[in-house]
Amino acid sequence: MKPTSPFAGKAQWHAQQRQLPPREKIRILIELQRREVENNGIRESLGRPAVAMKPWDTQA
Amino acid sequence: MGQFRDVLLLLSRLKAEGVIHDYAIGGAVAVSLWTEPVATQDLDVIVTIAGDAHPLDPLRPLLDWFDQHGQAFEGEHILIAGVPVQFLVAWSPLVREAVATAAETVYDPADPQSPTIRLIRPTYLVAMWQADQGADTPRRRERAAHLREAGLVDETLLTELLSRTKT
Repeated sequence: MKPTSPFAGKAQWHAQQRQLPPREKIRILIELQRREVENNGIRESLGRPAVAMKPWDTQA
Repeated sequence: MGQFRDVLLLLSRLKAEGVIHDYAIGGAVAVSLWTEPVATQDLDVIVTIAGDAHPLDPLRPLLDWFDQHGQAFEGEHILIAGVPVQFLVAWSPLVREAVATAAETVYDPADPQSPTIRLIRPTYLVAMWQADQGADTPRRRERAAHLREAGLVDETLLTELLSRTKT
């Protein structure tokens, strides 16, 4: 169904994310950990690093 | 590289061998699986211990088991299949109830051999955070908001759970 507004579209996307099976959510969680490492590299270059995150050495 | 399903299989094995009485996943991973994934450092596993554990060292039977099976320790975590797992003994009647009433679901519905995963239910997660002043942080309030936004918190049950912790 076509969303009626940008916010409705976002709500629909979030609702779809919530419906994903556990294994897919764990896969995304691990991907987010990896991206967090990249993001922290950027923060570090700006002089404000966050607590370092270590991605899990595992597959979903 | 490990596989997350191996963590779940090990947790089931600990229960089957009587090392723990029961377990349930809490923290950010539980919130991720109830709502949407977020990056987190570790996997919080709350356990109830079988038999008489020493009150000052309640995780000892579990730690001894990991020691005997050559499992790696990393600070306060046990490294299982590449995942840093923090084991916490259920620290109050509310948390013990949260473990006992956890939801058990299939990890990978596409795999007929998939292990199951036990998750603390959303209302209990929120109750645990609200009942413990030390756990009432901005990040946990945000997680509680996510659970509420997804319509997963039973406010009547939450009120009842919190009223019990005040008696």
